[in-house]
Parts: sequence; C-alpha cells; structure tokens
Amino acid sequence: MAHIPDGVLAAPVLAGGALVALAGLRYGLRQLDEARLPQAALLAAAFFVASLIKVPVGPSSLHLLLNGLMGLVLGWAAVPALLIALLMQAVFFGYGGLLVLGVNLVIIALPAVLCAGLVGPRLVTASRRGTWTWGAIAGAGAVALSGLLVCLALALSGPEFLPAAQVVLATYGPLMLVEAAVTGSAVVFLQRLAPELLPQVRPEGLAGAKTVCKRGPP
Amino acid sequence: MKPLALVCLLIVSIPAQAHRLVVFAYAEGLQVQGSVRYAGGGGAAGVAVRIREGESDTTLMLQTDPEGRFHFRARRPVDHRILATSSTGHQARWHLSAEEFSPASVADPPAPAQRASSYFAPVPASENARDEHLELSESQHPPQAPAEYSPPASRAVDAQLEAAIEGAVARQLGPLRAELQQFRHEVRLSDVLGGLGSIFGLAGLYLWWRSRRGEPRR
Repeated sequence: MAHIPDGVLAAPVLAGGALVALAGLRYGLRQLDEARLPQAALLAAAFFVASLIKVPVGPSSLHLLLNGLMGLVLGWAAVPALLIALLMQAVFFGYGGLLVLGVNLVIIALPAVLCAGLVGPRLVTASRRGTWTWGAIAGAGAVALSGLLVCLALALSGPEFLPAAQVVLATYGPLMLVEAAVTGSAVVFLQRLAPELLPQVRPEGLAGAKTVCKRGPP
Repeated sequence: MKPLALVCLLIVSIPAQAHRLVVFAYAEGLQVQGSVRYAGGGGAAGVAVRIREGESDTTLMLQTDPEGRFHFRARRPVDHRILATSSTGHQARWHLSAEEFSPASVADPPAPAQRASSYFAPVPASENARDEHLELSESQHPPQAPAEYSPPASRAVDAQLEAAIEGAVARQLGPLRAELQQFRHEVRLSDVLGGLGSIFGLAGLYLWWRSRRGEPRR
C-alpha cells in the first residue's frame, strides 16, 4: 500500500506532509524545463497506469511504483510529475485521497529524489552490468524507503496502526524484487538506446555516455 | 515503448486489479448483511469491521469471513455507520440509514437464530435475548390499540404479509445493490484513458504557458 487513504492519518502528519511536499514541489518545478517536460509527462503516465498492475502478496496486493526509475530519469523534476500522477489516481481511481496528497507525495517522491542524488552519479561511471545493478538498487531502495515512510506516517498518527505498519513492511519485500528487476532492465535499456534521457550522464560530459554506447553493441 | 507495454499489460490485468477497499451493507428487517471487497477484486477476508449505532457510542466489532462477508442483527432501526479497516491500513465506510430498516420487517419476529448467532460475540447472549423481547413487546402495542377498527386476525395477516414481502424484496435487491456498488468502484478503461489524457493535456498546457511567457523575451 503506497497510497494512504483519507481519514487514516492524524492532522499534524497531514499538515507536515503537505508542507514538505509544497517545498519539494517549488524546487522541483524550477528543475522542470521544457526539454524535460515530455519525459516527465510520459513517466507520470507510466506511473499512473502502473498502479493498476497488481502483484498479489498474501492477503493484500501491491503494484509497481516506478519511483526509483522516475528519480533516476527526472531528478527533482520527478516531484511535480508524481504530484500530477497521484492527483489523477486519486480522482479517477479513488486511490489515496485529496487530503493525504501531500503525505503520499512525500512517501513516493522523497525516495525518488534520493535515488537521483545517491545512485544517479554512480550510473555515469558504471559498466553495463554495473548499470543494471545500480538501477536495481535504485528500484529496490526507493520501494523500501517508500514502505518505511508509509510505516512512519502510520506510526506517527497513532500506536493502533503499528500492526498495519508491520504488515505493510512485510509485503514490501516481494515488491522490492520485482521493482529491482524492472528498474534495472529499464535503466540498461535507456543507457543503450537513449543515454541522454538519464540526466546524470550529461553533466559529466557526453564523452562518458558515448563510450558506454560504443561498448554496448560489440 | 515502455508505457505502451504497460498499457497492454494493464488492459490484460484490469479485472484482477485489487487495491481499494469497498464496504457495502443492506438490511433485511433488523438483520444486516454486508460485504467487504477489494474494488474489482474478490472479497476481503479477515477485515475488521466496526459498526457504530446512531449517534451513540455503542460500537460492535466484527471480522469478515473468508468470502469477505459479515452480518449482524441491529438492535434498533437507526442510522448505522460501518467502517472497515484492512490489516494493510486500507479503509472504507458505509452509511446504513434508518429508512433502510423497513418498519414492517422490524416488528417481525427475528430471523432464524443460527444465522446471526456466531457473530454475536460482542453482545452478550442474555442481553440480546432481552432486547428481542423488548422489541416484541413494543411492537405488539400498536396493533392492539386500533384493534377495535379492524378484525385482529386480518390485521395480523396483513402485517405478516407486508413483512414477508418487504423481506423478500430486500433479499432480492440486496445482492443487486452490492453488485451495483462494486461496479461503481471498478476501474474502467475510460478512467485510465481519461487520466492519461489529463496528464498529457496538463503537460501541453504547461509547455504552452511556458512558451507564451518566454515569447516576448526572445
């Protein structure tokens, strides 16, 4: 469960989440230039749709989050993209809710931004196999962090949610594996066919990207 | 390419989607039948259901059976607020209004005891029995008062017939209403396409706005 529904969380948690989300959104919007907007829209659409692909886990079910991938490709621009995607999910599917939008945005977007900052630079220097590994780490890490943030939000709202938080944490394990495979493959795919989509490659100079490309097909 | 693959996967997996909790309940006389399901998916087993009677603080705690159903016997025909909470923190609400308890069936003797007995745990059996006697004695007063105006026998038959008809209609309509409720919460292709269209439309609008703002400077 990555979407916390309305009426579960306490008011201070909702307000705190909304404030953090607003700050992130302000910064993220500045990073969202015209060149990156189509990618942001495409990834937001992918995130929106991915929530319908369910992975059954025990009594509950989970869906792909793709927030690690979004972070790697979009960096801070993932925050506004995720806001729109979450808004559409709340309006069209009834997942989450409008009041908890801020908290849900923090839960999904904070791991994405951390992925961009921590894993992004490693992708530039990584070999092809390394690329997959780092992509997988980003995917699994982002999901794990999202799960922890869900637990934190539930635990801060009241001790009666602690059992729920534990169940959430337990169900995130299998999703981490799926997400790692998907994100790793997606990053390798992008690195080979469209390295310019991974923004971390650019600041280091295009030379790095080109050598990776040349090394790709033997 | 990836979003396309995701959309294809989504179209295949729409019926299996299960993410949002939906609760529904209807009354047959004082007997309330309810179900908790995942939107578009199967019944939600072992979900905690909390029922609040009217404005009072009286609450009844139940657990859904393996098919996600629950039933209980209302003590009075008043508004009931039903809140279902799954172990993963999903929540759903349902409001069972006082009008749904049909007056004729309410006065009717209780439904077969074994149907409800296993779900009576929170209400001590003796207290429950007393309540039923109370209802019976109360309900016998009104027919006695106007007895002079109509033959008591036909009056009783009328009331019984009315109760039977109302019970039968409720039994027939209940599952239909449950199905309708479920259908309302199912994610349809139009929702998905609407969401995707909104995301791309918003991206286009933002691009247009940025280009309009940038024009005078260039």
